[in-house]
Amino acid sequence: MLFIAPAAIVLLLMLVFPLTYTAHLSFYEWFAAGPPPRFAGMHNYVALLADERFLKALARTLAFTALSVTAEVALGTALALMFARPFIGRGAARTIFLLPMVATPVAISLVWLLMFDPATGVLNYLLKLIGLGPSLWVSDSFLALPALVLVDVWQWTPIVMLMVLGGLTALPEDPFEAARIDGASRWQVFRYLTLPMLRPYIVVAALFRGIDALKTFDSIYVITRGGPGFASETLNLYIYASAFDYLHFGYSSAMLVIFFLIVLGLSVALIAFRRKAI
Amino acid sequence: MKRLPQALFLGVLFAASVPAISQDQFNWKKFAGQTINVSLAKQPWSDFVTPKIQEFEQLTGIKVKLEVLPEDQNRQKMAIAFSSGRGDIDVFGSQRHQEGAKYFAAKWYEPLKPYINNRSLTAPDFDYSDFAPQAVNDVTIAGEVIGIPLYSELQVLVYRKDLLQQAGLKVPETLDELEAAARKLTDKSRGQYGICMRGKGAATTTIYSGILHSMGGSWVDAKGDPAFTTPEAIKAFDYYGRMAREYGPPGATNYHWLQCQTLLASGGAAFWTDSNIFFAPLLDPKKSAVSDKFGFAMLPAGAAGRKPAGGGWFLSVYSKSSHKDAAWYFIQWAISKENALKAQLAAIPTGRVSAWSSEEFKKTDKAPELTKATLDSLKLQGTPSWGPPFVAVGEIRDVLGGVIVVAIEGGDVKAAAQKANDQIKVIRAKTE
Repeated sequence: MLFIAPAAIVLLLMLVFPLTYTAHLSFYEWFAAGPPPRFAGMHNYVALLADERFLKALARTLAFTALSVTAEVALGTALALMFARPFIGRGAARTIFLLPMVATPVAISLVWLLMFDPATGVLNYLLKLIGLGPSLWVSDSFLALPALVLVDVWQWTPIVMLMVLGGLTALPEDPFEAARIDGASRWQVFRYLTLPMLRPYIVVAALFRGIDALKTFDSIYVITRGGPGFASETLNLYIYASAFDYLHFGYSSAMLVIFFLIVLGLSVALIAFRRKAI
Repeated sequence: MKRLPQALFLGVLFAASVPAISQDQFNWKKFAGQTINVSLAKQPWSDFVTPKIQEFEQLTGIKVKLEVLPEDQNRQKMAIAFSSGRGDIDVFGSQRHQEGAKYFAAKWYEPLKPYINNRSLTAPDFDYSDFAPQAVNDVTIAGEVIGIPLYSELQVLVYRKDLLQQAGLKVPETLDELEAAARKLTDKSRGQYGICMRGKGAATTTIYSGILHSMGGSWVDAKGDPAFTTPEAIKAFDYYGRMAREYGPPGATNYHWLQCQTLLASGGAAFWTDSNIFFAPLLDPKKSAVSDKFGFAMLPAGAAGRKPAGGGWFLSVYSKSSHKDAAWYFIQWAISKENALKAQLAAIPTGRVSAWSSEEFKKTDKAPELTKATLDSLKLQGTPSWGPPFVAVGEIRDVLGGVIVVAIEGGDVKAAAQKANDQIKVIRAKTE
């Protein structure tokens, strides 16, 4: 028992206490520039259900995550398959593909912000070269969220690739040899051997990326700050504004609790799915 | 001259009601030996006053503990200190459109009118009527004076003289003329835009204020409820959106004042209306490609006349301070005629008319046209504040900014305004 005491204390201080305190606060009405906190029961949660800004931010968070993770898993798997086979310059190419992942998110977000600029950004210059009209990118309410997905995909596809590539190199040789002897086509090999055997790795990658994408804050904060208007405001950004700009600590805690439950639920579902996959 | 009858009236009233006080002479040394805590945000004015604190200590014998923090930290510190009921701040700075309504509702401002009117507490040459009406308006809530203005920050129009001349246009006097001129000076194919408008969410509300009030609208109706669904408010939303969308640069919804400043300095737009404190770089040949081509004018008039928005920092006495009189001494010294003039000569736009109109300032002024536009605007009566008079002003500005973004993108402004108005009511119910 004594051996695990330090770990238990750290866990208690760093995880259990903040979580329970947040949950506790979520039952209080507490506007920090107003009267002292007052117990309000389920009031914050009921108010959340009627808060359109919250519901829209929630929907945007889920859409952002679904789009990003789908694209990242598809692209990452394709890249992993490409890098699994030897070709000239493979090592160098692989290193270059990993660079976005190790760059500082705030720094690359600032670079993207410059590239998105409708007047001086390089993206519109490229569009013009191929004969397409200029786009407003993150200055357009409909394009802001997809543009942020683009940034996320650019930055985090490499980690999916890395995880799937790890899985690929760990696959046993025998089934592939047997398939070759039986005369299976390359598509059949991929469809009935590679993909099923890779599934646990892909699921883990999707789980990691999914949880991370739900929590995305830095790139959105730097590039659009939730704008134009609220067009790209995700849950994380709304909670930040609600707590630190508007000083609604109780209300923000209620949002955090819901957010936590969503992340928890998704993790449990994906872990269960992964068990089944293996 | 207009103020003379008022002053006489007040004087008579005073002499009649409190004859005892007139015998009690004003004396700078009256509170010698006391110590006051002064909490300021880092600003041109706090830089100006910091090295002069000793002069005050010598003059009055009052000891000053000065704390200057960056703006955000200063705000947080005050909010925490005040809400915990501590009295160890005596003098502090704040802004009407930021925390004004919140602090006033919480009764944290000591009403200053009794001090100003008390001849034993206020130096004879303080002259409160020297402060510009716009600045006085900014520090007056429900008839009470909550602070003494440090600045006269307000909305002005900047334009390109050369472009107007080439197109045969005169300086717009009305908002309609401004739109016509902006239309004429827009040539998107050459990257030349008629006007630059802020488009970034909450930041737009600052500029919207002047347009809303010029068009006859207001933040609130007669009952004090948000009034963003009135025909005037909708017209102002539409106008704002149209100006940004039709005659402004692409991607307007990412423009704050800094982006507009950059665009104007590079020669990319003909008009811009924003706070008078942002224009200095335009006139600097090192920062501006067209530094010799700018003219300045008052915000053009709408149906209700000229109503440029404004409001700057002001100094107040904390209502729970235990050295209120000494704190008031500090404030009246800090913004005395003499010190205001010195600040004005150090390029700080003060709230005192005497400083602006002094010969010394006129001689050193690098932008006399901007000074004239500022002074003319300062004389206007009933000009609005940069922000709405609500406690949760930050959250409400975000909601309003959302409506302006809809307007800029050409969406359904009426529906968005209705929704925002309802949302603002919910927010106020939570916070007021």
